[in-house]
Amino acid sequence: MAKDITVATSGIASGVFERPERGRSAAFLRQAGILIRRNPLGFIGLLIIVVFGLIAIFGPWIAPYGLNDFKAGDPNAGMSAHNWFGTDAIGRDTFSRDVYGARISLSVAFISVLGGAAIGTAFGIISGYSGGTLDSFIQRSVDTFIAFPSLLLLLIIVQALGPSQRTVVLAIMLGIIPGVTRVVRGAALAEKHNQYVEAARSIGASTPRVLFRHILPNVLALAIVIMTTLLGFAILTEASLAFLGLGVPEPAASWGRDVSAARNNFPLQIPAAFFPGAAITLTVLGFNLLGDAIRDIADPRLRGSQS
Amino acid sequence: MQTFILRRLMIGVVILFFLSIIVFVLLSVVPGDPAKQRCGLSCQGDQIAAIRHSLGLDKSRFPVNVTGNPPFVEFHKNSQYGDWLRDVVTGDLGESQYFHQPVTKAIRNRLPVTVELMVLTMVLTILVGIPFGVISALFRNSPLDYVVRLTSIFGLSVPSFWVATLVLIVPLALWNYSPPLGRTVGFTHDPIGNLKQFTPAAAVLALGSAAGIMRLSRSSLLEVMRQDYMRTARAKGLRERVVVLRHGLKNSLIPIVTVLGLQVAGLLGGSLIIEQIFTLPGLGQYTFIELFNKDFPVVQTMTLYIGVVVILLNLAVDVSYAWFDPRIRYS
Amino acid sequence: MADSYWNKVTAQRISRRRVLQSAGVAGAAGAAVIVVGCGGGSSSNKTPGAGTTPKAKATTPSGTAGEVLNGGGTPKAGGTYNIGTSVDFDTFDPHISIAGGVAYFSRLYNAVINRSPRSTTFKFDDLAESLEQPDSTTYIFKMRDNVMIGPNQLGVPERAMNALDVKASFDRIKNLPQSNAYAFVGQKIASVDASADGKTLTIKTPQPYGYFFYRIGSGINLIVPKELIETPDKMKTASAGGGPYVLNPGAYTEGQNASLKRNPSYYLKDKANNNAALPYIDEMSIKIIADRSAQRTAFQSKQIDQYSPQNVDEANQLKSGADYAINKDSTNTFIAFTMNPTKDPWKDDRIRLAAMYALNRQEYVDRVYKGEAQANGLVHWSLGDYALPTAELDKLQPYDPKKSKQLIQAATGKDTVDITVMWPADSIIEEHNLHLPIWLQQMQDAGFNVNKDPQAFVTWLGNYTDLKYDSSLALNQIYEFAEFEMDFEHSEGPARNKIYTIGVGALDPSIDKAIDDSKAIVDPAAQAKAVQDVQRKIYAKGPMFLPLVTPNAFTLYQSYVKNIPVGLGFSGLFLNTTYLDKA
Repeated sequence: MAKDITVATSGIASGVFERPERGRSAAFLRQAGILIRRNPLGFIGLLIIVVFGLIAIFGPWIAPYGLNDFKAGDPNAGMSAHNWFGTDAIGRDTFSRDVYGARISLSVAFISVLGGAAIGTAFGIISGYSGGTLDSFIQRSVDTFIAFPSLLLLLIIVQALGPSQRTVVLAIMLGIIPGVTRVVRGAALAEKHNQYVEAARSIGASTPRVLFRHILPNVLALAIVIMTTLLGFAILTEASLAFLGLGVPEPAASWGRDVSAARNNFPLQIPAAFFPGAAITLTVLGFNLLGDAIRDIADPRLRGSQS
Repeated sequence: MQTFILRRLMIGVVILFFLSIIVFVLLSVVPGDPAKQRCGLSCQGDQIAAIRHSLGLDKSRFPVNVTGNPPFVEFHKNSQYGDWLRDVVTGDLGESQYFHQPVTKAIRNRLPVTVELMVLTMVLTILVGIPFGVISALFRNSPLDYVVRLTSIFGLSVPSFWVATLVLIVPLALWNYSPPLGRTVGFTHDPIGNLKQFTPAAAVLALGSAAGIMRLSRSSLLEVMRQDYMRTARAKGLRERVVVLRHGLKNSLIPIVTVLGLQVAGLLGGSLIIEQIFTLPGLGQYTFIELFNKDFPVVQTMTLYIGVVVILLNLAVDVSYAWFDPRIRYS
Repeated sequence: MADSYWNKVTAQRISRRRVLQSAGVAGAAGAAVIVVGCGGGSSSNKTPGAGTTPKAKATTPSGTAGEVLNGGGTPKAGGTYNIGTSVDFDTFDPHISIAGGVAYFSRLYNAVINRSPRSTTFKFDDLAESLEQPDSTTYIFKMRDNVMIGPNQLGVPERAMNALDVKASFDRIKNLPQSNAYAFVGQKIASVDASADGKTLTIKTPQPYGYFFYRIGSGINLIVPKELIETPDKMKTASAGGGPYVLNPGAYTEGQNASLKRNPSYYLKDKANNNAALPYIDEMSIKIIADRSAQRTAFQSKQIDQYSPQNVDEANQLKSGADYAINKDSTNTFIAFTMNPTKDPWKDDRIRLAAMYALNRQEYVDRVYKGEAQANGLVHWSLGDYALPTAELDKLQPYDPKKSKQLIQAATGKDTVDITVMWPADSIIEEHNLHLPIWLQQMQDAGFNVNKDPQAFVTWLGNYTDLKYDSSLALNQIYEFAEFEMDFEHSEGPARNKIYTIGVGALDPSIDKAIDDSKAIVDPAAQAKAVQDVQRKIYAKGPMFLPLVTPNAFTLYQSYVKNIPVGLGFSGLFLNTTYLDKA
């Protein structure tokens, strides 16, 4: 999804919501209502994410059966009132497993994106602001990774470290950092020549201070915008790794791996393959829709071309 | 122009060099002693040493080692990395320890499959992505525009392995139908059969990239349409269509071509999965099998090979800018 | 796509194998089942060896050894037999190949003799015509003089194979550490001598060795013409030998297909059919179809002539409405739980027994295999007389989680005990992924707190090899005879090299002795009885290697495939009377 980020420009207007002065809650609601009406798709995306988030958080209460309860139904049963999405090869309830799968996908995605974005932002700011050899070095390293099929690199990393939740998070983080670094670097470069920065420097502000108080806030808004896209990427990557057998290992439930298991199961149960993948699609769709909406809101200049 | 290309190539070599080291280090982190595992159940002591030697594992890892004793640095004439690098650079790509066949032979047999898959995917991406993106931009905010935008954002969200799985199992479950899998027929021998095999795979791969291109074409063209020179063209009284096609499209193609080039890297990664699922015996499948069988020298070689392809491709993309926009010069 | 190292491992144990394990992607990486060629059923193996019928619960396999499926009728010569295999060949050199293609090498080369562990009456004397055993460590073979090497493009003269070729092959294996049979030839064979005229072959073993006949005919011991041993690289992609088929250069396309052509000089004739020339089938076309569903579709559209469904449901589904011939056979595969008796808490006999009582094997039979499987003792049930009778097993290893808890309480003073279990997490053998949650639940219910340690396959294999584990739930393994299962329980592990496992022999040296003694018994019936007694001893102590259940497997054939030998396992591959009855 890094390619989509490059379309977004730097220079994000700060302040998404205007702060009302009087009758705060009513005015706030009105503002929100306007936003929703202008960006219906984004609102739908938000709803989707919230729903899946709730599913993830309240999973154990929502799921009718246990994660590995293989007595939930007859093995390889189709959809029924007993098992809404049918069962898998040994009789575990597909619906319950999909609910639990949300926990894995969302937690892996959030942790890796937060970590990756944080590190990438740090690198990007350092690189963009300092310039010179450090910048060159970081830039070349980033080019190395971007110029390469990330999936292969991730596969190698996971193979090297062994499959576990920690490894998957680490691998996805490493996959995110180069893209974030590049984008943030661009923004930091632009900010460097900003008047605020020059003013601060002229009165002798130290570099960390400048970085922190001037560059970071502006860059941060950009980072947050691209994070939604990154979350979608993280979920797809985790699912792909799980599909290949390199994701979070059994007996944890992972959407990706459930699709792969359903593929080799005979007799074929289409629901078992369909629903986990549909869950992945919906979640990523939610993040993409939301991301588009945030981008529209945050950068009015783009509004003309994107909306 | 020549210096530009030369400089980019040199940078490319440096990048590849670092990439190979990183991959090598990663692969050497893997625990377990391959010699002992290879040796098997009834392993005897002398066997392990012999196998270790035949796998080249008794050499030191790097040509240069830092040691605890003076002179603190030791050089090795033969090292795993050094020998590998030397062989690769001189054209000896080695042999797969899993297939017991030279890597060059595998590449020769499998490259056409992967190339065809990539070409087909790119063709589909361009044929679907650009026209719909352009239409969407031209008829902005119309129902058609919304449909295209929804479709494209959907296409970005869908996991390719899921679509591939459904494409294979739904016809199988419902109608007992499956495209001819396994052995590929050459295009010249049997075009229909060949396309029957490759098209589902290419279509699935192209989903994501076409969606991305659709969005990008749309936004890129919209961006260009608002530019001053476009207004000038309209003011001159040219018809809208002429304006768009002659002036706008060509310029909006630059970001599109850039992204297409970037997408190839992603598609090569995706081909790993798709070739597996559709059993196309291409390089993606090969790399994957080698990786899973821990045949690391070959994985390194393939990584390098893919890296070369990607870098050359991106270079071609950059060079093509000059054709799209005469203002761009490379000094 | 089978993992090379593990293939090497399994190759040591058995003659031919069905690679059921692979580290990698579901179906995608191509894995699991090799559909084995002409005859013999892809699901290798044994009806209970020395003639006894299978135990009560399992439904009997469809054919006993020596029977044919789709028999009767007059054989027709000609035609191409199409097979799909998931695993590509790595090399056609039978001594060093570690991919699944090993099963096909008996089509290209000869064995000295072959005995099927499933049948006391099956004898296939290939290169050897007769055998004398003057004492328990000497085997004197009289060689045939008419096993002709067929026309080939490797420059091997079209002469008769003889004892000198055998000696050359065994010498090569002995001096080649990479060869699969290195340990067998190095440890279990003292000398191989050929008379100068090539007519007599004398093999001596250092001690009496009861498993000799099962191993001598193994695919990894096939005999190649001695000219090829001088230039072994030629064997990578082509063949020349006295087998029924030949692989000419260019007939193998990597990743796609291997085409074996009939050897017109093949020596065997069909006695039951006027000494007609064998084999009947002109060509065997082995297609690499990595994906199971692709194989299935190919079978249904008659692109391949046999197919192994994954389970009984699929078999029934395919068979309904079609006239496929279906063969059901027992297999030699199982998933085992291994404990390290030198580590806590497995040192304590009571804890090991507690683990044994925790297992409800019927649940695996029902849930994973839909009833088409049976519980195993320490030797799997398909080995017939070598395995203990079901009634006795029910007493020795009952499902009794209450007893587990009592034992744990007695051993530790607490209700539960902590254990660490490792397994290969990226296994794509479906059976493993299906066993795992059931096993975890059963252990937990019996009072074990399982500390899960999933590892990447090679990491797991490394730890297993180096004995760096407390306990492990291992992958599908294949054993055509009881030797290795018993060796796992030996204190020095299989092959006495202290890798993979440490048996309870470490805790009780008399068990070690019993295992070693049982190996030296040359008479099969007596050996089977001895192996049973060894198991009883081990049960008394508390075993550390627990095979869970062994399933049945099915093979479907197109209706026009005739004279399919069943019930012989891989040995059936030596028979060539199968033919195609296509209009």
